[in-house]
Amino acid sequence: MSFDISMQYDRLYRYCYYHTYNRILAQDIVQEAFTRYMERYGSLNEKNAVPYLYVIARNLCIDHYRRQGTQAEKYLQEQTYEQEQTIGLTESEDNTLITKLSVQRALSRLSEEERELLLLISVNEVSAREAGMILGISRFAVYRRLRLAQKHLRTELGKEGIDGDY
Amino acid sequence: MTTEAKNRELLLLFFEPDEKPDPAKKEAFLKNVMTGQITRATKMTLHRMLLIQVKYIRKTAWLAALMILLIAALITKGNPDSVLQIAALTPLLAFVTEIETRRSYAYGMAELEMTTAFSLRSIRYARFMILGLFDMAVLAGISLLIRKYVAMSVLLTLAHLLLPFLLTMTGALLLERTAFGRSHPYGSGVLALLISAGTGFLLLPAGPLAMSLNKTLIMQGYAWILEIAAVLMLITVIALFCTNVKQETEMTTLWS
Repeated sequence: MSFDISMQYDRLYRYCYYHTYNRILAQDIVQEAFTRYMERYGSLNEKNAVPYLYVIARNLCIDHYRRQGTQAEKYLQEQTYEQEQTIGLTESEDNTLITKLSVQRALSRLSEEERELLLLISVNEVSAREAGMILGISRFAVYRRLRLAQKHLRTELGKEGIDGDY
Repeated sequence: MTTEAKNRELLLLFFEPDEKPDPAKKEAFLKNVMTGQITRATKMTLHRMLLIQVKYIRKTAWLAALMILLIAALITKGNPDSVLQIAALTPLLAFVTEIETRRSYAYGMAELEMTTAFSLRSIRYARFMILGLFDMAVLAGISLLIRKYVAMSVLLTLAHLLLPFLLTMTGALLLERTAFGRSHPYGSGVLALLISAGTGFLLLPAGPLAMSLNKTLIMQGYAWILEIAAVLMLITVIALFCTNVKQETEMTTLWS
């Protein structure tokens, strides 16, 4: 299977953006992760290229948190609050925006690990084996925790009035 | 649309970044990755560094040592005085070694060398170590080769070969410190010729006194003096080289 570098770049950017909520920083971390990976392994056709890239990016994000003392949780809360204010002021009937807000609220009640698993597996389509490598847990633990996260999300979405298969 | 795709779309409402990455920056970066401009950086070990420096040492330096080995093999048979004859050639080897290790300075390449992957200082140390060890190995090889034909121990033979070699190195390194030595890199060649001639003088008809003195020293059991002298001179050469490199690197840094 060939490595779609552009697609992986975007997915890694999504992952880094989720952790940093900063466009420039997220892009810098993505590029730094690719550079470090290439310096270490030389080719993107390695079997474990994807999990290695995520591990490097994840560590770079953690380094950033340590330096800045910021957390994605804090950004998440601020962002949800700001959007609630915007909606409240404009009284927009935009269904997409309302759904987005509901999903945000539901996800904000999940643990950080549950959100990370959903992002990696359900959104970025990383395999369970690769997710296990990224998070440092076994594949079976990934399956088990993912099921729990999905169940938890289904409950929270239900509370928000969104019916889904979760 | 499958359930998985629907769930993904729902989650994307939350996880999709509000801001897309800068497309120009992304494109430029990916181009660099695809064209191999971002590739594996080979870990630079001491072993690898020395191997690289071996390639940059001129053939003359290797040939000079091998030439002496060849001459030793040719003249040593049935010639008890071959030690001093070979010793008379070692100053020339020292000159070639010394000029090779200071090539960066002699040809005004110091600034350029400083911009390479290694520091100028490490380049000089590496070349000195490579050539020094090679020369020592050749001289040790000669000592073993001629042990059948001369009435001396291998160590004493090696001391005889090393003393003019190290004396020339000491002189050349001292000359390097002077303004004259710096502006005339081949000045140490004159010194090498003088020491070579001085060693050879022991073999001339005018030198039997020196020859008999050397023999008496060995016969009387004072050969260790020559061996100790060789060791001390080796230490002196290493110390002189280190201080010269330190001074020259500081000067180059200051000027550049």
